Amino acid sequence: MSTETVVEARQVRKSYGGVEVLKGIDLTVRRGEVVLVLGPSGGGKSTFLRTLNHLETPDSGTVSICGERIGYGERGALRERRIAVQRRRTGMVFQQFNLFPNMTALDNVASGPVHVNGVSKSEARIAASELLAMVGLADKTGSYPAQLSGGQQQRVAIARALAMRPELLLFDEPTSALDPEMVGEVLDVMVRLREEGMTMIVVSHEMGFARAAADRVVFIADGTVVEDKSPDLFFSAPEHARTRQFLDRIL
Amino acid sequence: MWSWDAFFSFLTNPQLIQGAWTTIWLTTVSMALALPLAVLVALGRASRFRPVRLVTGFYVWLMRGTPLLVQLVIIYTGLPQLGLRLGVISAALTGLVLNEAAYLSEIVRAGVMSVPRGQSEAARALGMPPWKVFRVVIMPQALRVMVPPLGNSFNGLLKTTTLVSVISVEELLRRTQFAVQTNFRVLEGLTAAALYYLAMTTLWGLVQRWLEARVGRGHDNRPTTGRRMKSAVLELETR
Repeated sequence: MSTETVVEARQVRKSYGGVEVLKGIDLTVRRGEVVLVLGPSGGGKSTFLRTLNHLETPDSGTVSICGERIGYGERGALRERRIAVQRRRTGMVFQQFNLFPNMTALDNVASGPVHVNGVSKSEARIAASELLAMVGLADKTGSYPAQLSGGQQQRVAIARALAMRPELLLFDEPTSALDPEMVGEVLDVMVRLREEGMTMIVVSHEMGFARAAADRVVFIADGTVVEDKSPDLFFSAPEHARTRQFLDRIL
Repeated sequence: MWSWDAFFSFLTNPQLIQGAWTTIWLTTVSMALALPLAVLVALGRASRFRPVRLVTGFYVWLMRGTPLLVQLVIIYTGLPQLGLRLGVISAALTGLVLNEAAYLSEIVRAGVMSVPRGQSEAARALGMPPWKVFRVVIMPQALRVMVPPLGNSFNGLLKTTTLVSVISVEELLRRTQFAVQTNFRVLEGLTAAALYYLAMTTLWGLVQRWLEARVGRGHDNRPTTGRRMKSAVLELETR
């Protein structure tokens, strides 16, 4: 792990209809780090994750990815077209997979390179089939999402995010919509990505993944970071009552 | 008294065949021009800018709130009073396109709204700029929902074109009326015309089925049969 900072979030705040969901969140993630974000539902963890690629616009505070401030340029707030360019560095995997249902697995994976980077379709498909092989789906290139299981769809979604060669991967509850027997195949891929040095922020309740693959566990509740430490310390010696209360309920 | 001879001579009358051709191309060209306009109007109604929303909303309200027949007569016979003189075909196309686009824009709007939010989010997360999100991800999926009602509109438009006979466009109905005036065989003449319309809408029905299969890629493509409708309803009830 290097000391280079990939994500730097400072005092990120966000309100919906008068309710403050994020109350000034700070987070720094270095290259190669895997950060698991834990917390009660409604505590703001998904919202925070989505501010990192500006799918949610923070009301105040700053988010920088690889030193570039997201959503703002030298002359103030950026248009969506310019933010789209900034998002290329960040990949995102969703709870509901959100694969494009009218495209095959192969074209889903190729869609970023083709439609964002302007790579030729044939070239993008070659790279896409390599990525699908990497997530164990070499035989599913021609399948449409509806023909795949949840676990397979989520692996295609990971390959789709990887196709853009992101500096950072965001996972928003990637296994929550899966049948239990399919969780493992998705987590295996994520563990492999960690071994390859991918920087990842994972919102999830998978304690097994936390212990096996996370460098840090960040506990977010009531819109603030309550705890931020190594998995060992987090589970064995949580400092705050709020954390212990949460752990008691889920472990 | 019904005369088969008169009926068959209408059926093979070159006047009627030419009229049917005019009906077909008027419908096709109107639809082809109305659809892109409808997309613009639908986008306008969802615009961030209030003036754009107001103008497009007013347009749809006006077009759907007044009879096409009145619109056609205003365009062809009324506008020359203001110095705007359109040829008969231009006037007919203008009326049909403006009117149809207002209805189609509602279909486009419903289609776009039917695409789950997660789809555009996934596209944005990949780094697609807004127009790519729309063209690559939203539109193809909206089309799947839009094709059945769009086909319905095309079918309707084939018959709505009869209205332009009023401003003297020589489409199928007007040609038939002319032909009838030579022997006053009204029943035989109009029955023949009705058969032409039936043939055109039937043919269109086949095209529509092919289109639906094409835009339905990745989805369950079997045609909706009574049994499948029933099983879908049962599935909903047991949830």
